[in-house]
Amino acid sequence: MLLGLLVLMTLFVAYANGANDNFKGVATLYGSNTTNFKTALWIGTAATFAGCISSVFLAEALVKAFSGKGLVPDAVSSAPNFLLAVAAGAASTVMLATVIGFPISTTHALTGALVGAGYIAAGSQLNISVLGTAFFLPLLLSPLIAILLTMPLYKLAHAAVSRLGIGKETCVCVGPSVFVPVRQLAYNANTGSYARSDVATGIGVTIGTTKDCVQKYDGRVMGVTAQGLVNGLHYLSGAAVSFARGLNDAPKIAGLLLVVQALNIQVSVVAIALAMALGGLIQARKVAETMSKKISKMNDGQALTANLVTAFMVIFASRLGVPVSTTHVSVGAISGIGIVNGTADKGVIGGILLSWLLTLPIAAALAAGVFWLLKAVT
Amino acid sequence: MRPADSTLRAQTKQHAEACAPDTDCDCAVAPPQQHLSWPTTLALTLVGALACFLILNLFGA
Repeated sequence: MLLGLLVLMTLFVAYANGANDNFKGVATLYGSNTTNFKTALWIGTAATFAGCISSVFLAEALVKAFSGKGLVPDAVSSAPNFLLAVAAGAASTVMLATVIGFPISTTHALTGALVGAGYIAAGSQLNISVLGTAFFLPLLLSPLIAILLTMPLYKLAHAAVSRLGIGKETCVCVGPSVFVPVRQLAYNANTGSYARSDVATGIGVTIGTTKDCVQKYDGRVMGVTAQGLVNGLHYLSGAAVSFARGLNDAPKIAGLLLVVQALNIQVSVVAIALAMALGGLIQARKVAETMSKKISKMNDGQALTANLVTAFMVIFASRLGVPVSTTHVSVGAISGIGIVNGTADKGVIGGILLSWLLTLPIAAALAAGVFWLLKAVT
Repeated sequence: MRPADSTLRAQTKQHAEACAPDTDCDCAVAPPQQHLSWPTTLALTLVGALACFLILNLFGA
């Protein structure tokens, strides 16, 4: 009975993780209007799913039993009712943030849940000092490093683009998918509107409809169109971040099941991959809107810069021993762009920072409550 | 005569603002962004790097 509930609750953690984290690699693709919500969603979901499945083959060593991170004694952290409370506390916290639209770290929700359930289970044996490196260090360091890398990198990229003679042309949407550069429009002083001067049919095109208007790069770099190069790198970095996220997160969540050997590694990871994909496809919209549209305004180049920094940090920084969280890094990089281009929304960023601080106490309280109930019932 | 870019921006912005509130509407010509200058960017980067160093030392990492 408890094992069955633990499996279900672990899948709920994966679902919540998918819903909250699905856009952390592709938020900039949607935010810069490089692609629409649906395409970004499918790219993020497919790449994350591939990363999850690959973790079985590429990162089997990562799939370890849930250790309790040194917060609680091993004997406590391997009890099914304890694991169930941790999973319930973490999943509820992440789902709450998802419903409200705040991007938070699942790892930090799990840490908070461990603290809460651990306090009830182990009392004074709870090793709070571990929180310094497990919670506060990544919380402070990840966004800060991301901002620090993004700001000068964007300034350098901006200068390089000017040096290469790559300009920008602003286009207006005419009909559902045709873009016309503004410079091809002739201004009619009588009507105060613009019309395409080269349209022989006499059908005028005005810029009254500004929906989907975008700014595009004009020029070539090494024989490739600048816009094509920017887009190619942008899609690639978005897919890479999502893949890396799946590769890292699936084993972490699977660890909850492995400690009690509820399922074997392969079945656990595949089930978690499916639950994450489902959560991403069904409930990613709110967090996607926050990350893509509310933190900062960005064009293609700015979005690419932010995503390259996120990709670098997620893929390489953790290998170098720097404790980073995908959530904090991607939000930090997008905020960095907002700081440089003056579009950062301080209210939204402040709200996200507050949600990061509250993740631990809320998850702790929920997990403690569930564990206390389970102890009373069993 | 074709209007100046600033006029174009202002008029396009008006179009964007006139869009129905339920449409996902952006300005055709984005308002000019106020980029940070190089000295400010470098100063902020240095202050941030110092903060990172202090944080790492604080946690003994």
